[in-house]
Amino acid sequence: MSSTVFTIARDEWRYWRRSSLAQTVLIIALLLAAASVWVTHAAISHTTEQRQHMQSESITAFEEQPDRHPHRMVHYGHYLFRAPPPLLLIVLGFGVMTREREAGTLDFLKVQGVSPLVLLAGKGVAMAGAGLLVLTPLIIGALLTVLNGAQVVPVLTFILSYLIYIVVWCALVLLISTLARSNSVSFSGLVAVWILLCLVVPRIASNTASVMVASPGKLETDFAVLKKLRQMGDGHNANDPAFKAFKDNLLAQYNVDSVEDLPINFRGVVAQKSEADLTEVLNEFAEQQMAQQLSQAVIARMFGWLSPMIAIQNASMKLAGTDLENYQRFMREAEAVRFEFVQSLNKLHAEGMSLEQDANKYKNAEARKAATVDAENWQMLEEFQFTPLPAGQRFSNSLTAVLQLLFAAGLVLGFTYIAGRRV
Amino acid sequence: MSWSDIRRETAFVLRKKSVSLLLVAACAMALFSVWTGSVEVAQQEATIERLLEGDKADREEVTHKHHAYGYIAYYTFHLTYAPPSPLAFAALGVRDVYPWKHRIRMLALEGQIHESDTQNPELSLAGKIDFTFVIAVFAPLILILLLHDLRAAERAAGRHDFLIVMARTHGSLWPLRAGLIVLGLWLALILPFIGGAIVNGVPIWQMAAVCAVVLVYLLFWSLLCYWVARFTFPAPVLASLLLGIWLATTYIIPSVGNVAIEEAYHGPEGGDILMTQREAVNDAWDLPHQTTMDAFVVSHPEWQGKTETSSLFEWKWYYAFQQVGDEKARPLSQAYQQIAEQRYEAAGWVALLSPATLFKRTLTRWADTDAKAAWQYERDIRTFHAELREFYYPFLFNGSEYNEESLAERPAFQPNNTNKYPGIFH
Repeated sequence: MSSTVFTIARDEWRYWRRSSLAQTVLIIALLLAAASVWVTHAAISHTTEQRQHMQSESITAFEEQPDRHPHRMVHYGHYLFRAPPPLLLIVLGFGVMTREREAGTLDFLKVQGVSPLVLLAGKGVAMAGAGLLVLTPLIIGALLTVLNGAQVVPVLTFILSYLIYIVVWCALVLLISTLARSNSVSFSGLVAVWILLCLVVPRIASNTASVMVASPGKLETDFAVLKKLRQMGDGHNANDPAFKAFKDNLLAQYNVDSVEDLPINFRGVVAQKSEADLTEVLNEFAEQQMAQQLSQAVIARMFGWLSPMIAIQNASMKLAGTDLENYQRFMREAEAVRFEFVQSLNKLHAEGMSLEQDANKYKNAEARKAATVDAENWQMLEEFQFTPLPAGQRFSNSLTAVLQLLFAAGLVLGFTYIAGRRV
Repeated sequence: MSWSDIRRETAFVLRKKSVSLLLVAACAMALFSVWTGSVEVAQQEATIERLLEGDKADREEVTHKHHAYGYIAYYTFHLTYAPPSPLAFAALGVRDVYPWKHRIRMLALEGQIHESDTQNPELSLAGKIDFTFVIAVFAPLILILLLHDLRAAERAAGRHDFLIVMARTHGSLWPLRAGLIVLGLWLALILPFIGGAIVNGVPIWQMAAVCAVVLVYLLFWSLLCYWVARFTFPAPVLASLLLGIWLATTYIIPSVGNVAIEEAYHGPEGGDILMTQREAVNDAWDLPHQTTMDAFVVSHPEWQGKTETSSLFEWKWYYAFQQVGDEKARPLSQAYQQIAEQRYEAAGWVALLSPATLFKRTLTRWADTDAKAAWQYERDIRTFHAELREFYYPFLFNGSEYNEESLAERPAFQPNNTNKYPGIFH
């Protein structure tokens, strides 16, 4: 029986080799692959270049700062910058069953004792072969990343999920070609399914997500932040009444009567405190916004049960660690680095000069010199390193998406089996 | 061609299940896009309303709290915005990438106008459906499905030669049948649009212009399909050919063109402008005041002789170095803008090879949601910011006593009124 399956598959391959349509499709596929590789590569290298340029520029510019008042360095800020394989299978395979039907060879085969299921299996093997061919560049690329140090488990899962994805499309082509009366009905039906699954559903998913969960923009958050800040006091103004309780506490702690008697620079302490308070408020709002974006993404990802295109996209983002959660992790880590850096500057502000020196910094050039700290202190800016999630974690994160793909494969294969028995 | 021909062909076309199914699908897509587009525009309008309210409250509080022009100018933000045009619901355009709202204060402007809201990166991956997308990308596919087998299907059914012999005139068969299909698709797509346009208050002439341009675009694709359908190949071969043309003109040419344009026109990055401006402003703290003031009076000779400072910090000096910082970054920012305009123009030439892009450019231009509209908004902000400076400088440089009533004369941002009647007349 298995020899029959392979005979059928080999015959299908021979048919494709002789058909000018199939060959045109292959040439188009190659051109497409080349164009998409070029476009992707250009986009990636452009952003990398830009990021490196920005990072090196801003770090050197910062480290070259002469002696300065530390608080101003805080204001300086610091940058932390940052389809068509199914269509091909359709054009190749829309006629796998309908061609036999139109030519009348289907009945011949049945009479000769080839059961429709065996015929389907053979055609399926032929389609899978074509699918593998289409995937070869991707598989080679993925394996190359392992040689370059990528971890094995995510890469293998990545390849596996693409294999399932191709199985889903091969089975869809088989199913519709089995159900259709004629070549052209099969072709139109398949193209319609492709439009639906690859063009329409993904966009419906993102429209639905953004209509269901509205995410307020930055400006609106700013207002909310401003409102809260006004209750907390302005860190530039140590005399802000909002700091009174804080001041009384500090005076009691050091057992002195006035801020001038404090062994530390009161303005620096206020800057430290208000930075901590401000960051807490900002982080609270940032967390809110991240939660909203995440619930949008969760809604969009649910559409993976409807469209294998969305499922494969999610699976590969999860496996590569380029999903929304990782982006948000990056934002949090970058913010932590910024906060630590700013607070160490504020610490210098509090401990590196007296309140008197600080208050008189605009009196004259000499007083101004006294209110600066040594340039060596700017070297504290550590290099920001973002480490990707461990392989095991990325694997387990991708499981839902892989399950969606398996579900689609099971569903379509099941229907194909039922349709095959009715031929 | 007679009425009986038309009646016969209409009945024939509509009785084909695949035709009515595709027409219903097209109509559903158009409805969905019009609905979500209208929701999006309503959200933008609601956002502006809320921002206006918050902005006003915030400004009142600042006015109440501070009593010097320097502080007032430092702490007072002014909301600037570009409201969505009535047609924006059908062409959302680049309003998700280019900012359409900023809160501006009298500090160096280059540090303030290059900020934009971060979008949900996972949602922007798929992109959104708007009416423009439905027409530009989706409608040609429907047309290909509807028209590619116009003759091949009859040939396969063995009726082709019979029909030709029986047809009274040449026009009463294929052109009539194709025309009815195109008309049906146009109606299925345009009726949801007209509904949305009425709800969103689109002026009648603009509505008519959109209906016409959609018809022209559909006719272009139908003629292409009609011409390809004449070849005596099996239907799937014809459809593959058409799909190839669609893929090449809709996706491949625009994206390859984009990359080529980016490679061809190089200029400063947005980050460079920000860095230059920040460097200039930050350096100014350590420069002698006279250096900053000398640079300042070059562009503002009217304040010559009023620039001496008696303390190491004075507001007029502070705002002067903000101005000088902007002027230092100005050549970069002009070059940046020039490169952007050159790229836009070059993309216009590429669009001639891609009907979908051409259609998109036309509609977003009419809807004032394209890059040009975003640049206009940027120019509006620059004008407003300059007015703000003109308002404060006399108080700061003449050392006027603070008087709250004078703030009544302070310029307020007015959104560009041409947005009310955008489009084909400008």
